[in-house]
Amino acid sequence: MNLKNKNEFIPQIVVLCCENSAYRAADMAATLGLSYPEIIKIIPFPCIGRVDERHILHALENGADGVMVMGCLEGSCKFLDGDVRTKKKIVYLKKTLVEIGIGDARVEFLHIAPNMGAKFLELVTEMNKKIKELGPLF
Amino acid sequence: MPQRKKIGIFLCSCGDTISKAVNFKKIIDYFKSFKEVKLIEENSFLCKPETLFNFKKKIKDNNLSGLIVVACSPQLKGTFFKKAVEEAGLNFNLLSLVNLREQCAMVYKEKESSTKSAIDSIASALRRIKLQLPIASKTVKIEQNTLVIGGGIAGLQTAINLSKLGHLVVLLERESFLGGNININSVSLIKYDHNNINLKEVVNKKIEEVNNNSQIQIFTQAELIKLEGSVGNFKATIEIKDKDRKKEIKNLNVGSVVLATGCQKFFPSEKYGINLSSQIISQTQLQGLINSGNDSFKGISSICFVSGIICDDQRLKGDELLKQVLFLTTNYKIQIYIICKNVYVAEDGLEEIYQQAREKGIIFLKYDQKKPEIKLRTSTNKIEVSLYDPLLGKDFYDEGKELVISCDLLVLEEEIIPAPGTKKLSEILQISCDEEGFYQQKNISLQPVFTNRKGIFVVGACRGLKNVIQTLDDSGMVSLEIHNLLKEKLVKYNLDRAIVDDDKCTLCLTCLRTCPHKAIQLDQDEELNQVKIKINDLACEGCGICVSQCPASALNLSKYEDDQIIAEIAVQMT
Amino acid sequence: MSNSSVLVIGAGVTGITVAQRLVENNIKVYLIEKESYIGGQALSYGCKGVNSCNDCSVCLLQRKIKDTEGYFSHVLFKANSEIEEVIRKEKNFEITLRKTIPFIDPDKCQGCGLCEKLCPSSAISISHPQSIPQVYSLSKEQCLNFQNKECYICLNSCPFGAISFNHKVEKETLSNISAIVLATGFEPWDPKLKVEYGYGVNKNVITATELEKQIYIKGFVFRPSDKERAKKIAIIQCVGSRDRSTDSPNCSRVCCAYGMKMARFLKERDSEVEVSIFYIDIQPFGKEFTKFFTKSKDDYNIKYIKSIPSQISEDQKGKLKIKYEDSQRETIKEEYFDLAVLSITMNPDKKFEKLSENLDIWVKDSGFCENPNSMQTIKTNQREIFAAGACQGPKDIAECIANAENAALEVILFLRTLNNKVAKNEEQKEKREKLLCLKERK
Repeated sequence: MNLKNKNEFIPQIVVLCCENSAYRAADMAATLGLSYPEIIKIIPFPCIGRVDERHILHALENGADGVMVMGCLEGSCKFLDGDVRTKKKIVYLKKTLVEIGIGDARVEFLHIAPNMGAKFLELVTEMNKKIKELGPLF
Repeated sequence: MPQRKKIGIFLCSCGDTISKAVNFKKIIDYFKSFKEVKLIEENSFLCKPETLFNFKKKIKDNNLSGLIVVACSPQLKGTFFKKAVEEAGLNFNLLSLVNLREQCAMVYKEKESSTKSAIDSIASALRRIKLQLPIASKTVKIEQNTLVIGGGIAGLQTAINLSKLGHLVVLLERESFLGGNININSVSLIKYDHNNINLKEVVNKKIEEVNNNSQIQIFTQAELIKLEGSVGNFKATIEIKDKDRKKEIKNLNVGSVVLATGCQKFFPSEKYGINLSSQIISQTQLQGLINSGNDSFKGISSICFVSGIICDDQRLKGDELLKQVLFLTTNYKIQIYIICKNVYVAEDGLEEIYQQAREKGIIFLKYDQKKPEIKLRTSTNKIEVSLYDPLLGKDFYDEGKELVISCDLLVLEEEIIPAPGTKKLSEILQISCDEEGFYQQKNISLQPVFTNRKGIFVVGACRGLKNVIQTLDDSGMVSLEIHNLLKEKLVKYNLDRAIVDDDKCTLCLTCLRTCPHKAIQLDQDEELNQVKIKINDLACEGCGICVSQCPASALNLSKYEDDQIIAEIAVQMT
Repeated sequence: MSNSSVLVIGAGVTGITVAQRLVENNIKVYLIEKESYIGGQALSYGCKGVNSCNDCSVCLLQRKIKDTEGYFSHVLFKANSEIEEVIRKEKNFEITLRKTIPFIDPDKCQGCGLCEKLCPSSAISISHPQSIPQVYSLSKEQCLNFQNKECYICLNSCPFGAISFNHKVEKETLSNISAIVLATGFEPWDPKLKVEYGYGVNKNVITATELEKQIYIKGFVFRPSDKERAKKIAIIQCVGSRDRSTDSPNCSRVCCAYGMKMARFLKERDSEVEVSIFYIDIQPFGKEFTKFFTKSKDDYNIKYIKSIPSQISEDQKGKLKIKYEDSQRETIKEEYFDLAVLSITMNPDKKFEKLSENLDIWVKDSGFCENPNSMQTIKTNQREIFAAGACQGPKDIAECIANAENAALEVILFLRTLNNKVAKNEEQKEKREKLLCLKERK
């Protein structure tokens, strides 16, 4: 990330979205007329349980300053326990990230329902603010 | 991996919506220099019939081997474009859809940001499409019959519905007679509701219909002891006890399974701290007394019902209670007290019955936080129930101000729990249960009649549902679902399910244990004389959970392969 | 089978479930809906979960709507239509529809949003943010054209020619209708009838539906009077049900579930908010009910007050005073709240009465559709007419879906008895194969 001074830092946030919930919430945010604070990159998954730690690490190694993993609410995953499994992985991954010096604030797991357009924007805005304070990853 | 050389990028401006917010010229200039991009163009409305015709023509004329459609959300037009692409002769997995409208044009205020995002998204899609391969389809033969476990009203209705739709049904019943709880508990002498339906008559009619139906094969005194395979090709092992108590084993091939094993009533003496006696009885026992006839209530001048102590859920008990008391008041000279926390009126007609009951002199006493206490007063041989009635008692927290109801007979409610054998059956079938032991774990996606396994359905009280009318609705739904599954003998499906690479697989069985749909099984490979992982294509839902859990990366999901995701995920904002 | 068709009236969750099943079984379906979009009442509801699911089943509707993409091209959908006339012929019905085409014709609108961007007086907005099809609608009140200032910007710029300022009414006659399914659903009871609560006068007394709108549009709960966040919220059950004073004695069945889930949702979003539920008798629902109820009292600290307020009044600052009898201590209490949410009951859709007259259908005293045999709820007094969903009485979404499926089954069986066709011809087999490929199995 090239920057002259910290004020010009634009966080690059990658959002891994479950197609049944977060992706549709993102679409709904658009129909509600909301705007994102900065650019985000959305990657769809059939279930958030498909997310592997390697995907997140690869994102961090290749341009992302923060990664949000967004899946269905607990108890509403179409494939029953995908969200819970990935949540566990993220908890463990965060510990590893602390050990290697990246810290645990750059990767988050969040629950969302498909018709929470306003909440999607809220979560993205919060993450954006947090990453801006942390600064670029590399 | 073969690199695709002829990729077409079609940009849809959606009238003005996308092109006004994103700099199309910049995008086209950026990508046209890429060697793998054969053609890149802008269209006004790709979904319009004329534009679509040209779109398909261009795919064919340019012999495109990959396609990126940059338009509105795939959630809106995904199927539409996939169909169009297939009609143009290209496999659906060689199409990539970029959501430029909802996730770019509509949400970025500045054109510079949205163009940057657009270029990154399209570049990512380009990297990914080069790694996507065509997905073939396969046809498999399935069994077109259904196994219904349970001969109560739920099972009977499902069997009848399925037979009317033209299906063959095998009905298993553990007892020697059909009819289930309604036959046993015999709520027969009381009319069901104000429309005067006699449930026992209804069930008997259904038993007759099932007995005379050549499409339904009935096995009584039969239980399922093993189930292998998956949807479309289940292998069921049934144990049947004949009259001499000898056990016979039968093997059946079925396409789907329906669980209709019902519930049971259970008197929890431990929770009450009271044992049943001649003066303290359960609701079922009261029903038995009612059925026995006039002499049952000789010498009884007052009956007290207490409910709500052990359980807040009054379904299946609350409405029976109202009908029992109405019957008693109408036919006997007995003073009736009902001590409860909440009166159950959430069914059609119950509010009226509640009103009638009160008009006939039945006294309802509602308690709130403090539970009533029950004592046997040996001197008078009466049961005493003391409670705090908030509407009558002043100074609620003062001792000695409680209300005491004295009665000859005390009726306590039972708990509704899953029928015996529910847990064992859930283990045989590998389906999950909820915390109360009923089938179906608590997940909204399973509502109303699904289980975690495709092809296995649940109907009626055994799923924790306590309402006969809803059971009938569920039976209708299950029949249509099964009809949809088993309509054709040959089922065609796309091979976009999980695939295992045997060379990498170490047989750790992680996938087998984590698959929520139990679609992964161990299989004996006859040729190589070894055990292998087998993924049942029809049962696999394509979630990818097994893929991400596999420690050896031996599994893959054709539309969401690791290298594809990794290729797409890199961010390169110019 | 090839000539006859089924008319499904109403495209809410019940109607689209019935239509989907009938299409899957190669039956020609006309789906008529009085609005421009499908989804009905439940479309305005939002998810009641925060981090864990509260089983409100709103997402089931979302999934059903998403599924429509796969089969909707086979459904003959008539938006903005109502039934004008019914003629009963020997073996089937002939039905005349009256279609009132809105200014932006949803049949032609592709949801591109160009008109909204160009409109100088912001008179155009999306009909419903969650609707499918995503179509726009023009509000007469804000449109310059209807205020004697000529403006044809939208009309001229629409690439699909979907806009017209002429009030067009079209009539269409459908013949050979062999069966009709009523799926007209419900409408909320009018809370103004409960005069003591001052709905419409007290700004901070709102209905549950309005609370839903606040949440999914704004994302938080606020007092309408001053747009401040509401800190103390009262949820009042049984408004319009179990109440002889408003002539509505029956229990509304689904409100207890609704109120409790809403209370949980409010607490999960903001644990500092105080929520009190006023009720008569808690009606159980769903799975693991005892656990749900106990948890909401103990872990979530939701106050359950076994009393129904007698009066709600609002002061100049918008603070609500709720008067009720504290039955524990036999005293009259007055407590202050920021917001009062009324759990109102369901009434049959207002057009249902006329429809039932047109079709000669029996109705109950409450106005809902009567079923002569309570064991077969989807039948009506007419052999060819079926009823499903909330048009028969208050029901929740999961119940409506199961009910709709049962109705679809009965319609399929009914048509088979009519046609006595056992042999399937080649055309139908082909259609079925096409349908199997179209439907996405995930």
